[in-house]
Amino acid sequence: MSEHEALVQRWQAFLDKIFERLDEICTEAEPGVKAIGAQHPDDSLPLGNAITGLDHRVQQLKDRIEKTWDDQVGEKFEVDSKLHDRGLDMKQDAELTFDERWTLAKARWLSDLARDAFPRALAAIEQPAPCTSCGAPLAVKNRLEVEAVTCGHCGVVNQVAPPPAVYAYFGFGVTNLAEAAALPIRHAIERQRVQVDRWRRARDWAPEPVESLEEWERMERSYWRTLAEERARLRNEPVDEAFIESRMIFFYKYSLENNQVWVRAKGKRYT
Amino acid sequence: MMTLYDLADAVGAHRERLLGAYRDEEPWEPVRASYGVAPLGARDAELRACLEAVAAWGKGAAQQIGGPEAPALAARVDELVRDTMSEVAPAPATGAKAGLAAIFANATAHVGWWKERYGKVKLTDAARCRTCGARQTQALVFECMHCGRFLYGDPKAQT
Repeated sequence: MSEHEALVQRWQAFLDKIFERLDEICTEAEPGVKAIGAQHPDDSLPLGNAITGLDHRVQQLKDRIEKTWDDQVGEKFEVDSKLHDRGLDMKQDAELTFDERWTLAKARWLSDLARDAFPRALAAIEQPAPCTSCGAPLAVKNRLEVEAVTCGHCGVVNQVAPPPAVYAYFGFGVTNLAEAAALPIRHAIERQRVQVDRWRRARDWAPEPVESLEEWERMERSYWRTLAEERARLRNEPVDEAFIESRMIFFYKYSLENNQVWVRAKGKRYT
Repeated sequence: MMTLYDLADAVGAHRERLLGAYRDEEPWEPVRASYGVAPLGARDAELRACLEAVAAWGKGAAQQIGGPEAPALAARVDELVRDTMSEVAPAPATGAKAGLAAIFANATAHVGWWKERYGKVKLTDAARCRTCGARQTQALVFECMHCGRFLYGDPKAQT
């Protein structure tokens, strides 16, 4: 085995260790996250606290990839420019895969909890909302949002809020399910950007072709549309087209319209 | 005569006393006995039995008092046992190997505080005139139909 190959293998072995550690965290975190979700089904605060803590722990683990490359590994790969690129690609692939595995694990746990919350939300929707003045049942049209309902019996205007179980599922739960549905597209976008960078590097940093930028635009729109459509399906509402456009405007303004190839081909609309 | 508000406060006070004793802020055994619960061995099971006794009493009292808000209070009392047992449930013990136990312990550390602060929000409410107490009877009309005053105080009048 050449000296270069041995170096690559040692680097790969280190990255594999990081993934083993991530798998260990995921395996141990899953029952904890699900137990907190079951203990506090209508309160997103403890679950949010746990996820924030886990995110921090996982980020610390991911940072070890960068730190190890900077402190110990990078300079060893610098003896040859192709070898250096290979080492950097391995690092970048590892960081990408790391993020994908972690976000998929979280999405799976939170989706499972949301599916558990669905029957509780349906049962809570069925609960009558009595008038605060006379106790007669109010004719509430939509229990997903706060609604002003005039009592048909005594005429008092009641503000009726969704029960906690309804809010937990149709708010937090639906958001998590919709994000999980769109997540593979976000991962595909990240992969496409990495491939484009490598394509450019192999061509002495030639500009990205407009066809590739159009593909990026198409994928970005697909991500936001999938998210909005899934949310609309789960809440039985029309698709929020304004939401999709607002996200796309942000994308044009801060991504595509900073690219001169795109601006020459398509012009500037948002900056 | 006890009102629904008095009853809600009384149920809350029972819950606080039981939680305090459960956490050894006062001797547990006499408190348990005062709720008519026989020793069961595990303190969790005894706490649950005490809470069930409070819930049964609270629901009965709410029905006796009656009124439009009685069903809502009875429904809230129904959740007393589940909510309180969730509050005292230990944080998941998983994650010790990967160093995650502290994360799960911290995640639930302030849940009780949150519930105390936000758990009593009414699901149904009506705006009342600040002058005569009459309830709002027309959506988006904020002049009292009874006395003609504006329902809310004017912040400009603050000194």
